[in-house]
Amino acid sequence: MPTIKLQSSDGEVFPVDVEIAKQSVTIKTMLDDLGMEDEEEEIVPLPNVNAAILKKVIQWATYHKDDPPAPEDDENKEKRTDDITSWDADFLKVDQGTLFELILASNYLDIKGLLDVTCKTVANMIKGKTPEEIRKTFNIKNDFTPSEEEQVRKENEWCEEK
Amino acid sequence: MTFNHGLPPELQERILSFLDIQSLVRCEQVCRYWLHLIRTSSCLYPALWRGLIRSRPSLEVTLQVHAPPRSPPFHAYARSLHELHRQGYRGSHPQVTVIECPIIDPQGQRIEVSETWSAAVNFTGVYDMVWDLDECLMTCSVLDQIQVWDMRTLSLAQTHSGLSLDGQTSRCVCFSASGQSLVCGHDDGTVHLKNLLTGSLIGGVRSVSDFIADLKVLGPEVFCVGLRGRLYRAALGAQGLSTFELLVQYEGHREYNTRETERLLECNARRIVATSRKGFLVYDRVRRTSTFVDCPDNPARSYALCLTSCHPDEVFMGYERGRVSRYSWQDELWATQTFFTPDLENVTAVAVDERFLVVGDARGELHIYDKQNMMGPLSLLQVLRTGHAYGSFIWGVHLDGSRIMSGDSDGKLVVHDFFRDHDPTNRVVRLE
Repeated sequence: MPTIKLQSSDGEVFPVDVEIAKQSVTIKTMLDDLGMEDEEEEIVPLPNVNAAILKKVIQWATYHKDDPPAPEDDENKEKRTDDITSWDADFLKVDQGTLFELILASNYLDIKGLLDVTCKTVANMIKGKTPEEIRKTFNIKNDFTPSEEEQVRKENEWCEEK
Repeated sequence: MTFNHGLPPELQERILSFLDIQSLVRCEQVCRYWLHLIRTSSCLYPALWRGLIRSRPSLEVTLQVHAPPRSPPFHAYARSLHELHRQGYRGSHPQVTVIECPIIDPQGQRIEVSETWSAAVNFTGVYDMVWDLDECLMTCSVLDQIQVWDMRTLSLAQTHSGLSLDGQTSRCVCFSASGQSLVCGHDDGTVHLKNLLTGSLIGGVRSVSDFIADLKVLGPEVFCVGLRGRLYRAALGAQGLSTFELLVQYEGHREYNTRETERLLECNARRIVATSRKGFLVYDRVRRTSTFVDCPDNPARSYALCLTSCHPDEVFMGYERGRVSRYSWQDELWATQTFFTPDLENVTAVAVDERFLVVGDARGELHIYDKQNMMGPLSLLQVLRTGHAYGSFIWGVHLDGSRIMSGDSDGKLVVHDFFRDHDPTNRVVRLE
């Protein structure tokens, strides 16, 4: 199977199966547009992804290489977050910084499956929490004045009331 | 890196888009930045909207909208619905609003009808309407049907299948030049010519692969606009349609997005106007040239377009958030005059004649403006809140000189006898 070499921002080079790398639409487009596929020695630089994250991304893409393409977004459908596989859940047991780096990388590389599952993981960290608990989770400072906070709470009463 | 520092807003929005409504609303209370992010996000509104419908099942029927409103008044709207709900409002479709829509028959007799006259058959939105003055027929494209209404008796004259051979629905309809046949554009890119009264297929043509979003007939020619931003022309003959050709490709494939792009087309003897996400295309039929006019707030979604033969150098465009723009061709340029409807709801339909401009919005309201004074600002004469359920989108409006006909996303067709009974300009305008 042909391979290509992906180079992280900090200079590390990872040889990867072309088919695995092509889960990234960014890389796929690059290969298709530039016809880089034939030149085996070509190195694809990925200036926005460091080695640690690129390694994780390749690990994810290798495991998911036979997955069908991720479904298109349908904004009229409720999005689910309870459909994360146990392998993905284990894979994403990382610190918040890494999780956000993975979101950035999957967005840059345009790997929809990874972007979805990482975003869902963050969404699950928000779900069911009170505003104060959310602030704690993400280390966010409450910068509302008491009256502003009261105003927003009032505006959203319609939702809290059952 | 943290949630607030390092992630671009579109990724923050993407994460939040996976939340249920209650979590999303709680997120608004986290900090100023999150509040701003959610309240200004066009992608989070659908989630709020779905949640709202879910949390209030009894309002679901009232909220049968095909696209959620994307304007800041969402919270105000949600609150007012909540109030309705608290007051024990229980709407089911025919009872949501029972409003008299008086019309006048050809002998001048007044017929009292309720707006529910069309609700029984139109269970979903009216996509497009055309109105034939001579025959007093109104033809609508409704879900997978094409309905021909006799407006003298307000009865359904004919129902044709609106499906193409591939089973794709017809979004748009217009009459042929003779008024005897109907041209329909389908989601699979086919354009059909049908006998108006029997519904039988006379002939059809197919574009390469494009959804036909809107079409119009002008003399022996049919002009269509596809969702991918292409303008087509076909020749209309007794045997059917022929020589389907691409006139202009004015937007690339990457621009294609059904959720963001409502393509509309209008034409008169001189020009063809087709909308885009960024403005509109004007094709000059005499010079065979096309120009692109940027909309005032690029990119702003345009939902409504009107171009009439009574003022061939005038184009009206309805945008999101209540913006209406009048473009007039002066000194080889399109001069723009913009104003806003009072409640800033998305403008989803526009109709115009010599005297009036009628604007239909995403709240089920019709706003009537006096356009007698061509040079000065338009003055709002009246707001009609009757006929359409609060929150339904008015997708089609027609003026016939004495009445306003409007069709909405609930499938209701309403006839407003506005000019006879409610015309505040009665003192000013002499009605023939």
